[in-house]
Amino acid sequence: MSYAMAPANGSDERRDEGNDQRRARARRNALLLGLLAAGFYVGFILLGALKGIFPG
Amino acid sequence: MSTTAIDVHAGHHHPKGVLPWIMRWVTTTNHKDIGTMYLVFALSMFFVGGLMAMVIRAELFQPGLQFVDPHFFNQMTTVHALIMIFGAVMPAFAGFANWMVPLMIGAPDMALPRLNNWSFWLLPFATLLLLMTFLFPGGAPASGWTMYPPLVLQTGNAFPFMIFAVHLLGLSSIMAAINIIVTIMNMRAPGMSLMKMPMFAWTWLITAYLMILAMPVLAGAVTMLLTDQFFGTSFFTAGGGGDPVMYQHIFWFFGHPEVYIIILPAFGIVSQVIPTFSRKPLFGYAAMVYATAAIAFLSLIVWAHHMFTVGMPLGGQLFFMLTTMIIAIPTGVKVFNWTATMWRGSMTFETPMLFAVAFLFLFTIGGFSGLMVAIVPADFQYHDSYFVVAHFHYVLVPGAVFGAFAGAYYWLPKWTGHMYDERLGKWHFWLTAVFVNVTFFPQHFLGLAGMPRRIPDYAVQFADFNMISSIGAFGFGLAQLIFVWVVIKCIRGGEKATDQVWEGAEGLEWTVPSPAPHHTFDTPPVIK
Repeated sequence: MSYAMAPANGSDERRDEGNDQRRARARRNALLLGLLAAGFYVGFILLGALKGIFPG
Repeated sequence: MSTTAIDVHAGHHHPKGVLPWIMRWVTTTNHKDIGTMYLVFALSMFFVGGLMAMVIRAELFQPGLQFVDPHFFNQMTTVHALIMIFGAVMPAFAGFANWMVPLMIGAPDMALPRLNNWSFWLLPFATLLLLMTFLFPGGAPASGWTMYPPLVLQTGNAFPFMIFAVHLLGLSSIMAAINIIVTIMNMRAPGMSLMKMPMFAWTWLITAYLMILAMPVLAGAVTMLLTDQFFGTSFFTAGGGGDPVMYQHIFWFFGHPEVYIIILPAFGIVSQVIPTFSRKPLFGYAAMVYATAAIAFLSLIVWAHHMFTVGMPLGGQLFFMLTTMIIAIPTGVKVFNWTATMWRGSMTFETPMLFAVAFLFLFTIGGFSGLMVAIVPADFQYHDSYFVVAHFHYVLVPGAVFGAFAGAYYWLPKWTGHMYDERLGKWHFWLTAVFVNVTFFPQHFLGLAGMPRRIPDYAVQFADFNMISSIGAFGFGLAQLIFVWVVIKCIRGGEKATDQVWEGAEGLEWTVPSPAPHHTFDTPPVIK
């Protein structure tokens, strides 16, 4: 499946279908990136609870 | 909203009446509207933060205490930094991204338009939360923008407001970053492969990943400060077994990538402007992409160079010194490629190009002083002195802010449909370029002579350079009013801009009419 949009000479139907697929994929990607950010947030607080993990 | 209250012109809704007009901006999901709001907000905050800088420089005009008490001075330095970083520079580049990334990649809008609206509207409320603390008993936060414990824990009533504001600002940035990544990865026009994207889109893609890695770390750090203050934990409280130095490690794990979050989009803008006004393609496009990625990666592993003086092991000092110096290599690649792009080009010097060339010279000065402070033994002399203030202001003002000005002048005709006043633009540039050096260059000498940063008073031997620096700052501040006038004048009218605007401009954004219609690329273009 291409990550690019449907070509300009494609039909309206094909373009709408491509749009739906693309937006669904964008939402999934956004969710994963949000989870990554949340993981960093929680992870650094957990690291903070373990004294002495950083040099100095 | 009633259709009778709306005029529709070229797909652009013009509601009649104050409330519908307000609601149009509050509820908009259009990337151009949101980009405009980001840019207007950033410019407003540039003046709010600038006013605080004027207070700082007025107080430092001569030795002794003149205008403000030391506690208020500390509030000024703290909130000036927070507002300039989170309220002015980052939103300015988010505005450029909102306006230009969809146009550059041939997308009809951002991938998640409602999230985009929310990302923006968190900003004014977060900033208001921070600024309203000036009205509290005890005033605004005064511990420096780095919020180091244990000092920050003495903040008073403003403390939880500052923490909440920082959380909201971070959330806004993370959501904007997610949106930019998924837009670039999913919404590109057919044929627009990653390695065909304009450099501005590339630098923003890499910046957005940095934001996702760095901003949650800041949020984690300030959450721990909050629990130390109110919930009896001892993350950073030595009395309870915690470690204040650990806060510095965590903060700078965010703080150094933040520097590149601020500067990489400016690199992107300069990479668009220089080829246009040199009438040549960007030299070494692939090398530029890889250099940007290398800078971003290295920015994640150099954080402790901000804190050499805490007393870390020799191995740590060497590691952080060497990794910091290695950043000069990809940065050097970029400076070389921008210079090589201009080499034998048919160059003209319209205002965007003037700002881009000045960026190249002056950012490099900031880069060189960065190499100086990266040297561990030397840093013990420079640390916490005005030399550091001079260094990071050279990176942030003639670096990031000049990049933003270059972008604003470059794309204003595309946004407004009118050419800006070139004569006024050049006045703005020359006054800004002269005064920025008058302001910040003497600060190198002050720092080398031993003047500490963040002090409202100083020994008499520092008087002359401080006076020069303050005169420069007032001149710089006044020169920015010209920019506001140029923008207002350009919005109100002027010579009609063509679609391509600039003779040497290339890219999808120059194929749409000027001003860009409210909706573009509903039918995706095909890139050959």
